[in-house]
Amino acid sequence: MPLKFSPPEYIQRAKAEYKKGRKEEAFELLQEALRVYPDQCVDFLDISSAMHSADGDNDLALQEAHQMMKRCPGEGKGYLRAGKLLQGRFKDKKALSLYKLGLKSVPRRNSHYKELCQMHDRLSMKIGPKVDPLRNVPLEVLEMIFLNLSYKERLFCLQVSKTWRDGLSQAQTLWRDIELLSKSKRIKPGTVERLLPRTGLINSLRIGTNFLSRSARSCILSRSHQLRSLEVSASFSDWQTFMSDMRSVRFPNLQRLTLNSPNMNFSDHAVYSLLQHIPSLKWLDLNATMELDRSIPLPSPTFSSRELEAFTIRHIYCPANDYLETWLNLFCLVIPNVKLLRLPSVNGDSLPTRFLCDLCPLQRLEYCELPPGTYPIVPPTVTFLSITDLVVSEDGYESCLQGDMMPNLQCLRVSHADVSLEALRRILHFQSPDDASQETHIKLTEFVLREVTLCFTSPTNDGNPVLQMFQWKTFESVEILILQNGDFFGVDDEAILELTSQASNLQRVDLTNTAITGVAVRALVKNCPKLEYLCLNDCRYVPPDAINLARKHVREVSSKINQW
Amino acid sequence: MSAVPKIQLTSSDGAVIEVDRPVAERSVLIKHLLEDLPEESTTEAIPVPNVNEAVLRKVLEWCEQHKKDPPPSNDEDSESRKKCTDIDEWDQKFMQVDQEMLFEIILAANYLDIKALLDVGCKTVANMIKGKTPEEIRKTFNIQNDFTPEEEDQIRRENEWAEDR
Repeated sequence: MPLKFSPPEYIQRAKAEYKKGRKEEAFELLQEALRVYPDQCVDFLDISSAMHSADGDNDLALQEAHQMMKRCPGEGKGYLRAGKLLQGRFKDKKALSLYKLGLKSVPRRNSHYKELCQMHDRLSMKIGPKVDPLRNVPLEVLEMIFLNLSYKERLFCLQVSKTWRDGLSQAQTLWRDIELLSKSKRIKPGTVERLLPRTGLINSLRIGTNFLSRSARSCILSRSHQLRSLEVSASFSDWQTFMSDMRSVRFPNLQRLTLNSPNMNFSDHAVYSLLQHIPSLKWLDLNATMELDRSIPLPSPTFSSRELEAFTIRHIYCPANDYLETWLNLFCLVIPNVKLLRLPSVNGDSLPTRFLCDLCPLQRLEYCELPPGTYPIVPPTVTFLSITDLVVSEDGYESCLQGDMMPNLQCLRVSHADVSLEALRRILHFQSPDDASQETHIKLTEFVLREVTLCFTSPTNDGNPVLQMFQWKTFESVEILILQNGDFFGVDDEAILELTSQASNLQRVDLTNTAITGVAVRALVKNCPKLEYLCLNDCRYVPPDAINLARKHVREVSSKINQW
Repeated sequence: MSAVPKIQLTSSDGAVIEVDRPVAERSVLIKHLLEDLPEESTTEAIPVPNVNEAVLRKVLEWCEQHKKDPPPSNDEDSESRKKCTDIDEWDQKFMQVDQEMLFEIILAANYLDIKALLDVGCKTVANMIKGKTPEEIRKTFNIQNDFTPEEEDQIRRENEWAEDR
């Protein structure tokens, strides 16, 4: 006569025997447990069923699962076990009816109720009744559903059935935003004409294919009077024709125009006439080269594009430097309300900021992707009262930062570019004590420096540039500070201690790959009560106890070490 | 602090469901109805003739979960409408129901004017279509392909360019 065990002991022993391959013994133990503890039969049957199922003996396993349901109808385990076994045999319908029965019989407080719900819902989603949305949902709701899809996905939906084709074609709002994107396949003649909305006009249009016949294009343009947004990314062989076709259309509502054709050249005259032609334009993005043409007279300075808020052009080419100056000064009068200016390179160099003095509302200035290796133009000091964001990246030149005053700067991001400490001092600390003679710059109280990013950037100076930067005491208002990969320009404990003595408003700090130790981390935690994100990735000198301390006080701490 | 006022709703199949008034007021239809009713008659059950009990309970479960959400903004600007089909986790689980229930929820949300729920429902359906071939879409909704092979071939060829990205 074997010893009497407690229920968990029975289960433990049965499992151990089973693992040793002594299956007979395992099942005998469970049988015995069933006899000794009949009121806990579910647990024993469950294990037994699992073992039978693992042995491939599904009939027995299923029998036991059924017994579980029969003996304890209020317990969820049995329905789950049986349902899963049935699903394993592809008897989804039977499984679903068991789950349904379970949901009726098992009380909500049962610990397996939730899983039962999930299994039921998942399976009923798979095999439950199917509903054709096109036959059951009113048109206005159909539009809401299909507007979540891309234009391309909507096109595929037209192939599903006649009901779908006819129903969806009726939903006009689905076809007002057109995307004709195709790298290499020709769009067959007549296709575009059929895709246009049957009534009404096009709202937005993206053309990203070189294979669009002139007749297709003019058909599109003829329906484009209400166009609000137009993006063309293509290299038509007859680009000039397209441009002149475009000029023949009135676009009274066009707000965004993107012409993305890196190999194209525009004359400045073409850009003017675009602006003149489309006075409603708010956003003009020309990824192309603008060539200044001296032979064509500049437009009358009385014309200006008052709506334009954002202007991008990749490159300005001007053979004559004296003409460039005149042109730039005039051009600023043409775009007086621009807030966002993505600056081109001018003859391969950065545009000197002094030309931008007339752009009063300018808020965001981006220098980027300038070709390296050209000499910097040193501009005189300029004050930009309105600029709140300054972004310099990808070899944007130091020259573009020299001496400019931006007292209302809120955000400074410099990455992959060299900046002199002197330039940073001017920008971050717009009035140094020894500049007392300088006229006072208007500082608006609501604009305070909130974000500073210096990535892959090395302010050039003797000594420790970052320490010196922090010593200007201009970081009190800063909430976001990103100093990635800064060990080679002096982000160390001493610098951080200096920082934390003033910057009590810091919320997000990223010190990835810097030479700080636990001392800096402790100072941050102690002096920056608002800190909610701290990134210490690849900070190899920060010990685990400092990281643990940070985790206690800061909601999100990242401390991954990249093993090269 | 007084207790949260309760109201009663009658489903199309005659079930009376009691619910906190702020929960029911996620439905703009019910909210306006209650505002128009004189104070004393809010004790009477409000009929919801287009929605059966199972669906109404499900809709109210959603309203309960989202009762603290900020009220829907009124800007109907279609430009600000994102094509984002992200659904928050709770809603995603909530929408794991069979298609019959899913579309009934959508219709009920449309009728009761619960914009956020309607949005979630529409996104759920859109996610069932997203990235699928026409054949897969047919399978998903059990739709008969009633195009003749010639018609189908013609449409397929016309749309060929769009497959190329």
